[in-house]
Amino acid sequence: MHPQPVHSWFSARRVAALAHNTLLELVRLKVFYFLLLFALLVIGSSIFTVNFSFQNPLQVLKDIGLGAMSIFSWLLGLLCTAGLLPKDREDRTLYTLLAKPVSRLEYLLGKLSGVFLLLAIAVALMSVMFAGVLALREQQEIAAVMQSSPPERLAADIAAVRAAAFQANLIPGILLILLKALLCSTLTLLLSTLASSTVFTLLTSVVIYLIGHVQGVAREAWMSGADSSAALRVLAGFVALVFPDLQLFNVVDEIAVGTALPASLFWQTTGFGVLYIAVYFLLAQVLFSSKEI
Amino acid sequence: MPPDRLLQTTGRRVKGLQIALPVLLLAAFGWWKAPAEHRLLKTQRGAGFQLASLSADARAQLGQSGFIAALSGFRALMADLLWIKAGTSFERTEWSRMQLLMHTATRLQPRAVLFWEMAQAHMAYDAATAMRMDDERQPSPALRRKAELQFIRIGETFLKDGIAFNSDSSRLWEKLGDLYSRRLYAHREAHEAYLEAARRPGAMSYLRRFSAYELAKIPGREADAYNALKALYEEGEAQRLPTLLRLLDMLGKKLAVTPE
Repeated sequence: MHPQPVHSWFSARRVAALAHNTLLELVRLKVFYFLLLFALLVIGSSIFTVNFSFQNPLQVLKDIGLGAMSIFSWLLGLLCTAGLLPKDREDRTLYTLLAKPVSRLEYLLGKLSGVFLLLAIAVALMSVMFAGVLALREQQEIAAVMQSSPPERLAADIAAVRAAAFQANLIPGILLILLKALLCSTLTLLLSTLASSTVFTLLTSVVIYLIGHVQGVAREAWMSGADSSAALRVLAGFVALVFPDLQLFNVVDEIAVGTALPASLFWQTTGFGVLYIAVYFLLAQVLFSSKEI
Repeated sequence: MPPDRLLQTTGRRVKGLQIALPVLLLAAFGWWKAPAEHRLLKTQRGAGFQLASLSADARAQLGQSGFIAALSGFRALMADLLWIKAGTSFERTEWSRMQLLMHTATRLQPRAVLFWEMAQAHMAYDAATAMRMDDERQPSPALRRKAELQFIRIGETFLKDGIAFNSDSSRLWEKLGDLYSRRLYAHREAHEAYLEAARRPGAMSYLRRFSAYELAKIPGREADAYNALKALYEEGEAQRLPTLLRLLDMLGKKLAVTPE
């Protein structure tokens, strides 16, 4: 007689299987179509900025591309995560899965990991597209500079064009854009464990995203104890304690104009993001485990 | 206590705990995270990040949706848009509107050295010259000169603000030196600005020469200027340019220095 296999309370393989399936489901939903929109936006703005004489066209293109990457990755994470739990409940997959030896922690972690994978792929693809369009524009700009610049300024002008194009120092900034999208997705998951409707989750997530970008203002007001009414202080304290400061992850705009991001600062910010994700996931897990399904 | 009652009470306590636990966890994390976020923000600011300010001016010029866009990841793009709008004002010679737009754009993207540099050039050179030349709108030469000076000072303020945000920028110090030298004829200030520019990383080699040239124009500083120019001369052929040789010769005669 074979001994009964011992069922471990947590299995990375089960989580990986769930993540893989979530990723496949999302891909089947054709979520990558939004990349087409991103490509259109970046290529379109590349053509649109050709006639700019008052501002460096490569700089504008870079700002549009990075801004779009930030918004698109957040939106993608939001739309994919908000629908995860309601969809599984609707088509009964959730009950089938939880009836098997799959813990709620594994289920939630697997689902979120699937979204994380999707976001990582999407940001990587957007970065490649963005770098490609910038490289093409860089070549056009260099050709124009070679025709118009006097010989003594040629080297400096070409160097200026190259400096305004895609540089490796943008990569940490793009990674922080991804981290912000992952954090927002985790927050959306936390909300969807509480909410019973997808619309509520979506709307609340959008509001939290906006509040997250002004959280710093509330925090500074709360911590400085500035003269204000008691109600305002309580409100500022609530915002500072409950919401994440999403502005901390917006460093790419400065990197794009040449500010160097020290490695220690990058890791500090990344560590903060990972901690936010861990705490919000833990909360989601606590709420989900006590939820009557 | 009867078993069903006990079960009910225990159930309620467990439910209460299930609600209280996440709230406590969130509050505990919040108490820790708020000061930690503040420290990280300070570190980021020290490294030149998170310096942008979204003031009421920015809101007025960007509109409600633009302001929200600037808040949520499109700040640099909003600064670009305002800059392009400033370009339209330049074409229409609406100098005051252009100044306002540039002011907001530079505040939205304070680490873009090019913004500060161009803003000062448009104010201290283009707008100021337009004020001096505009005898149709202002017949009085004295008032035209006053208006010209006002715009030069606006250019100076742009540069000083830009330097406050980009203290490591040799380029902005250089432009400040140019402005003092060519627009305000303030040679002592120009000398100091070029000197500061020469001390910054990536400084151009001519900045130390420019600093010495300005020193030579300050009454009473001839001996210092002579020594500075001499030191540059002794560095080698690369520094022995016509202006340097001419000034060295002129100051040598003035100070009655015996040529070596």
